[in-house]
Amino acid sequence: MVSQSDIQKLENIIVENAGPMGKFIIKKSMSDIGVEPEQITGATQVKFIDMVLERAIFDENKRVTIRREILSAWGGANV
Amino acid sequence: MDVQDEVEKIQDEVEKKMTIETKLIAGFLAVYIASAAVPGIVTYLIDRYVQDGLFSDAMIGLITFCVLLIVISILAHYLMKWITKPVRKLCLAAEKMAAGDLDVDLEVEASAELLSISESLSRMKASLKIAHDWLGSPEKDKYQEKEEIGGIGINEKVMIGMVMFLIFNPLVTALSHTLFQDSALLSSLISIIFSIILLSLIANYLYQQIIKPLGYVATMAEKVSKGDYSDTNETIHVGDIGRLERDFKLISERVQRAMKELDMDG
Repeated sequence: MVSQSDIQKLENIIVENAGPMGKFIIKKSMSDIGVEPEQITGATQVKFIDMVLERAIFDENKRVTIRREILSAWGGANV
Repeated sequence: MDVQDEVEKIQDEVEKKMTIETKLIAGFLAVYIASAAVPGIVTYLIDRYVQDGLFSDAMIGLITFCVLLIVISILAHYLMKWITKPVRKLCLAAEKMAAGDLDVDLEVEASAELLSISESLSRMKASLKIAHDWLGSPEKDKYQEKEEIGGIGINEKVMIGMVMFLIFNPLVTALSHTLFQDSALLSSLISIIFSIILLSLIANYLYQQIIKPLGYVATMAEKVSKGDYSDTNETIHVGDIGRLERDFKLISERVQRAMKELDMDG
C-alpha cells in the first residue's frame, strides 16, 4: 500500500528531475491506472512507478537511477 | 555505488564550486597585487638593465602606466571570461527556451549560483519536453535576441568596479604621501586603510549589482522549477540578470499554459 507521504516523496523526486510537470504526470498516471494511492500495492506499485517514469523521464539511464531512488524512498520495496 | 552515494557526489561537486563572490574577491586580489607589483618591477628592470639617465622620470612613469594597462587588461579579460561568460551563456539558453527551442545546451562551467540556475533551467526544459510529448511540439518562435531591459551588463559592472579601483587607489596613495610626508609609516598606514575602505565600497557595489540579484534569481528559479509560483511577479532587475529573470518567467508561463491545457483535456 502506498501512503500519501509516499506519494509526496515520489512527487519530490519527480519534480526534482522533471520540473513542475512532474506533479501533473503523477496525477494523470494515477487517474489512468484508476486507483487511489492506498490501492497501489504489489505489482501495481511497479506498474505505477514505471508509468510515471516513462512519462516524466526521457533518458532511460536516468530512469533506472531514479527508479532505485523512488523504491529506496518508499522503504526499499522488493522489486 | 548506490543512489545516496551518487547524490552525495553531486552535492560535493556543487559545494566545491566557487561562488561568484569568491571569484570577484580572487579577481580583485589579483588586480590589487598587479597594481602594487608592476610599478616596482618596471622600476627595478629599468634600473637594472637600462643605462642611467636614458629615461626621464616622466618616461618611466609612462612606461609603468602602459605595462600596468596591458597587465590589467589581460587580467580583466580573463576575469570577465571567468565570471560573466557563463551568465551570458545561460541568458542565451534561457532566451531560446522561452522561444520554444529545447535543443539548448545548459551545461556551464560555472559558479555555485549559476549551477543552481542551470539546474532549474534543466528542470523547466524537462517539463517543456513532457508538455511537447503530450500536446505535440508547438511552432518555435523565430529566435531573435530580445531587447535589453535597460541597465548595464555584468561585464560593464565588473569593469566599472575595476576602473574605480584603478583610478582611486593610486590617488589615495598619492594623497596620503602628500599629506603625511614626514612619516612614511603613517602615510603607508593611511594608504592601506583607504585602500581597504575603497575595496569595501567596490565590493558592496558589486554585491548589490551582481551577487544579490543573481542570488534572488537563483532562489526564484529553483522555486518556480519545483512548482512554486509565489515569486513570479514583475521582473525587478536590469541588465543581464534582468534578462535571465524575465526569460525564466516566460519559460514558467509556457509550462503553466501547458499544464492548464492538459488539465482541461483531462
